[in-house]
Amino acid sequence: MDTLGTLQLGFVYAIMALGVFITFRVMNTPDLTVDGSFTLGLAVSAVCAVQGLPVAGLFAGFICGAGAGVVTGLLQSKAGIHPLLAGILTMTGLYSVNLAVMGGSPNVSLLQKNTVFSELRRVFARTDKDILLLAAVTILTLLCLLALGWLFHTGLGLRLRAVGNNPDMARASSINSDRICVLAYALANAFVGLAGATLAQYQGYADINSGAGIVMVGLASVIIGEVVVRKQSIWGGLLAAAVGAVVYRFLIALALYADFFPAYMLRLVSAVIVAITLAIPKIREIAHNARVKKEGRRDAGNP
Amino acid sequence: MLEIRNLKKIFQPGTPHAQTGLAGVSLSLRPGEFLTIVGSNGAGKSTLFNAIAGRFLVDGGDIRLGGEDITYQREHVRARNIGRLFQDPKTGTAPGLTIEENLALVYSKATNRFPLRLALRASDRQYFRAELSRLDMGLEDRLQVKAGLLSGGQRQALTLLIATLVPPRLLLLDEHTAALDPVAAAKVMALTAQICDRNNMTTLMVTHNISSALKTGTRTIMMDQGRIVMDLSGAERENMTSQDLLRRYREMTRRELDNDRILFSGEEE
Repeated sequence: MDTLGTLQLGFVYAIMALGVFITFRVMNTPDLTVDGSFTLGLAVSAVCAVQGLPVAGLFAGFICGAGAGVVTGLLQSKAGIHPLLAGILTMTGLYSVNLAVMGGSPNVSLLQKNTVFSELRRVFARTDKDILLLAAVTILTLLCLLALGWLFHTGLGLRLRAVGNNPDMARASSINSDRICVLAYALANAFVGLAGATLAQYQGYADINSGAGIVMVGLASVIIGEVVVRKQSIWGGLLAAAVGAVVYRFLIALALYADFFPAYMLRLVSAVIVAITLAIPKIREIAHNARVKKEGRRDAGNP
Repeated sequence: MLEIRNLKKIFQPGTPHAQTGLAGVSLSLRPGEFLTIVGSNGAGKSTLFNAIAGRFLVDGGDIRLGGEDITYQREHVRARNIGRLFQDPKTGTAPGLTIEENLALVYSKATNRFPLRLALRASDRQYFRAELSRLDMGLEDRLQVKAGLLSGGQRQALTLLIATLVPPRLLLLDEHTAALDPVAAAKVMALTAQICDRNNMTTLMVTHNISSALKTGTRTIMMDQGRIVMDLSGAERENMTSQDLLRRYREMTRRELDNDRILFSGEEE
């Protein structure tokens, strides 16, 4: 198994998981825009790199992701569309946008082009290539994590959390919940876009289907992370999302390495993992009721 | 402080379910006045509150607060000057935020602090601790406990503190002790009187407890079918008992005051 490669990929996806954490846990709504905004990040980043602007590509991925989030946020707060449907609408529309960004072609290759990673390799020519890549993506992820952790403790951050936590209270506290909602979706998808932008330059290509099912990966990462990191604070939650993304990559790598299932089964496995984890409270309740019933019957038998 | 003129609201107009919420309510409150409101179910008490707070737009009339016309102002904009407490203690605090974060959320906004600065400073913590200790519930030692873990009484007391940390022009209390057990309700009611008195707060309070309506505050109105039918203050109110009030209601409307939560407790005190 390629441990370093898996770690690298894990940290790239960790940035996306941080974004998913914002909508899924802070705002209390899973955001399906992610599938589209992730690919959007890949597309703009690849196109920028082809034009010889790899660093600008990362920024563009961040900004364009935020733009996608603004659309979803406006659809649900201003147009009153159900949050899940708002996400699906943006995601669907983005498919065309992403193709347009890539000039109508379903993929863009960065072969022989400069990327942020090839630039880094040139500057740090003496460092081992894999270690260098790992250091770069780890630092990027850590920066994102620290920025978000700080943000959620500012006045604005408390407002974001309050709107997700108790919208009635937020409104009664003179918080413009519509504006905060748009901001939260923009922020979340900005990080998703940045993750896509990083991935495109890391793997050296962008593909129109790169983002399909990525929201499942994000949700699974957040949930798996919460099992590993059990601290229920904002820092704990952010750390859990990042760690969860890395663990998820390892689970997948391990399963493929051990030949548990063929690669095409990945999506099904992700979906099953998420479904089971989301069902845990209900499963606990059923188990509890069964126990109560059993004890009740036994007591009735032996008065 | 608060000037309400001929406020009208009909719910679902033009349908068989049309229902009059407010049928021309006029009310004027001086600064520092503490008004209690009683009335049967559907009398328009909560509708009046929702109209003032901006949950919906009224069909007619106008609302002025501190000289400013707020009739068509949006809910979150009015909220800058209006503090609200509801019956359900869960509504007033964010359960996933700690006690100090709940306070900082409102405090950093009310003091117009730049939104991208940390919301909690050491000096804030000191201030919150001092304010919380006035509630006499031991919350000052539990700043980092999530608000969702507090009891109903504690949460409502915390909400009261949050709503008045930076005193608003108007405080709306909508049966804010009705969901609490009697001991907690008495405690929160005592805190309410104390805080309103200290800040000379203009307050409207809906209550289902008639004797507490007559004892708390400086003035009592009774509402019926979207109208104010009785307005008591001064000596007339001093000498009024719960039984007198109910008799007056019967004579006036030829109906019994019916409210499924009405309480006559404390009558003998």
